[in-house]
Amino acid sequence: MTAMYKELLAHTPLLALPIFAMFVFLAVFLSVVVRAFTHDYADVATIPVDQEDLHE
Amino acid sequence: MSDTTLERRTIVYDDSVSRKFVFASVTWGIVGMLVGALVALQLAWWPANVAPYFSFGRLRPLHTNAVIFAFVGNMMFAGIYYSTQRLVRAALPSKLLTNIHFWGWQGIIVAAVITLPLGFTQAKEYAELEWPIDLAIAVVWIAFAVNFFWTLARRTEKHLYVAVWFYIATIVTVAVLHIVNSLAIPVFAFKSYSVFGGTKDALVQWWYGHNAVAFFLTTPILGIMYYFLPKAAGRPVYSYRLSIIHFWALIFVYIWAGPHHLLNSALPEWAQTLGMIFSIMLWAPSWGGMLNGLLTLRGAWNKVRQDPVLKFFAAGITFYGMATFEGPLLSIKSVNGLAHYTDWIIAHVHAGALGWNGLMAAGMFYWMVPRLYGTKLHSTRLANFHFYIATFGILLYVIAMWTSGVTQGLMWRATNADGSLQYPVFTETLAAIRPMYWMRLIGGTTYLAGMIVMAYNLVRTARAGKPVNGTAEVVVERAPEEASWPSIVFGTPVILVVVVVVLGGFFLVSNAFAGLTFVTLAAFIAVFGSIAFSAAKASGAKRAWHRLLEGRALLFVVLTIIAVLVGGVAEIVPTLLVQPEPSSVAEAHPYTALELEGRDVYLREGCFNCHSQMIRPFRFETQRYGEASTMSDSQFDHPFQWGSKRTGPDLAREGGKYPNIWHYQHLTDPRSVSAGSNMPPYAFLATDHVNFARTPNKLHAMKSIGVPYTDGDIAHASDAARAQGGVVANDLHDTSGVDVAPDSEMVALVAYLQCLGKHAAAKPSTNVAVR
Repeated sequence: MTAMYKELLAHTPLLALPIFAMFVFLAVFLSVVVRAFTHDYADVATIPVDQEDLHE
Repeated sequence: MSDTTLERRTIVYDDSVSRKFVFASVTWGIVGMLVGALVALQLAWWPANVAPYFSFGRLRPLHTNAVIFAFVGNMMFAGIYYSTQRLVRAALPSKLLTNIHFWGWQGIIVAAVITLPLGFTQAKEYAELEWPIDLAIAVVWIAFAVNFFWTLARRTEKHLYVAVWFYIATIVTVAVLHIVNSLAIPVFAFKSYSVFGGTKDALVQWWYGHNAVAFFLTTPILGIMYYFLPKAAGRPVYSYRLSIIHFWALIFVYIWAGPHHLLNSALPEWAQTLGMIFSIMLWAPSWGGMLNGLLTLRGAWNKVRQDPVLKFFAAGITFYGMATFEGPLLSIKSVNGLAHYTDWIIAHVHAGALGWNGLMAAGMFYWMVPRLYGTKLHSTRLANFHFYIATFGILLYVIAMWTSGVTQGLMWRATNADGSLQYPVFTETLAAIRPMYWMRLIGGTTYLAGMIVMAYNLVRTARAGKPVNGTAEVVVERAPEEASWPSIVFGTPVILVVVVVVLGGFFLVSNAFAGLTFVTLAAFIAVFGSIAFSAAKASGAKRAWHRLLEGRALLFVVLTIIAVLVGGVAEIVPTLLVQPEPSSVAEAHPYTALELEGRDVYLREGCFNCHSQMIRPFRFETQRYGEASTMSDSQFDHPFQWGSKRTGPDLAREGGKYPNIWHYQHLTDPRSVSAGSNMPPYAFLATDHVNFARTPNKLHAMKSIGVPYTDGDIAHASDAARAQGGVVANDLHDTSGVDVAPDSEMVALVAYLQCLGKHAAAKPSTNVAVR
């Protein structure tokens, strides 16, 4: 590890955990954004309004 | 769909549970807000603290619990049960579970109504209920979860609409939050100590507290918005794509933001920074959701003018936008330095609770109740009247508290040219904001009046009709298309994410040059891999990967849990392993037996509702209260008592500032030594006695969670407490002729107050202001 990392993690080595988790977040977020904007959800979005409100 | 066989079926939904939850919500909402009006009155006019059982410190938790868990909780359950059955086209599977859920939840609320005024409390905000009730909450929540997921398992609509995702996130996350934050060592039937102490308890508590806001007051209501708003507007949600991003971003980011409640405190700096950054990031998904809601009304604003339901929804979502703009703003450290501990925070939470939760609840009730009873709303004019007085009430309330909060914050930090405090007497700041307390009371009471109008309108509506259950004709796919598990687990998006994450791991453990290479490679793969995958999907006939995922409820739940836990674990685990500096630990010692008993009186009376024990590292704070607080100051505090509001001054270094007799007089009649104080009198403590026979049990419990009491300390706890009580009582007699029993609660509390700031290694400053 470089001196910078050593200094960062000197008192709390587990600090790597939140940094790593932030990286996971960015990866997942990017993935979700790309996926969401490349597909058509028109049929799914109408589920609530397509239903008839019947009652007994 | 080549092998599919179709079958027509009629489903009868169980709407009886929604009817019960609706009226439970309205009833408890009125009760909770009535208690809110009473505590607001107590702050403005102290004689309203009519008896020990009904003092501010005991009633304020009742108010917050009633509004959050009884009003919003019951409303949320009503909406979830109603919409989920229709969204997945399946009736609830178990009447027994439904009844356990409904009656169990009402029983818990009744238990809260009884125990909180009696002083049974864990002294952790929004988690005050004692351990037997915590266990009951866990059982009832499990019944709810089983009922909900069982319904999903029976669904005839394969796709899980976005509202259901928010419900799933709510159910799994609240379970995790509740279990972790409620971990405590029982001492007696209604007495326990949190297993976490000091800074660790602070982080866990506000990880819970903030996410109670997120996953109890926000995600379920967003789910309700995504179902009921399109229904009422008669058009689909503005952007389903945006709702996907909204969901994943919100649940991933929200869980990190808890430390913004602990900015400028003794919490490790990295955790504060992390909390601040994620709180600011939270603005984006929150406003994504708000805009998605408001834009659903595009082209339908003419309906908003006529339909009270849409009026409530539009205003509720607007308040959501306002509160979620204010939240990130308040999480900026410098802004937080001004706003924290002031009424600005009270304004913020009420903009959310009254504006977002309350108005969304009203909109949902006005939409649901006529349908649940097969009739029309009794009076649209009354509903419109309710809308206008509720909005007026919220605005009055919020403006009053904004003004009060900013005034408080500025007065606390105001200094003269020579650097001394401009307002060294704390009650000066209290006097300045008192008119705002009356204005808040008027605003809150106006809102409560609107709730009563709504209750009347809904009851008249229900009485005009009769209970009816919804039905639906569904066409069921006998052999619906199933994607294989390997195709999902080893799908391109998962592989992409794993590759990117592994490269990210290499980045962390390699040197600067290699690290840069790895992170560049990871970014390249993430961006171009996703684009390539999308292009391939667009050209092929396969269903989108996320659509497959949504069809797999169990996998969806697992991924949601992972998304939520990543932030929580990454933030909490390092903090739990942090220890105060060794020298501080060596010099610090735990509370004496009498001080521990006095501390329990402090917890029981809810002193933490008005007094913090956390001096922030600002000059104006250290001048007023003493040296800034450190981790070691509160390391033996189970639970921590840093507080979140200063109606009175900070007490972290109260010990030794005043003689015993001053505390006796202050507790007996606060205004006798502190003119203008609004603190309730606690004269009864002089005649109520501590049962020292039970003191060893308390020390033993504390020892079991890491407080360094010896076996000798525990064995002699009762005698030691009596002896120290005698010293304090004798001092009161000798200095002022006051006779009070050595085993009185007054003596114990005075002993506790006199030790604050004395046990830890840090030394209190002598440069302190007067009250």
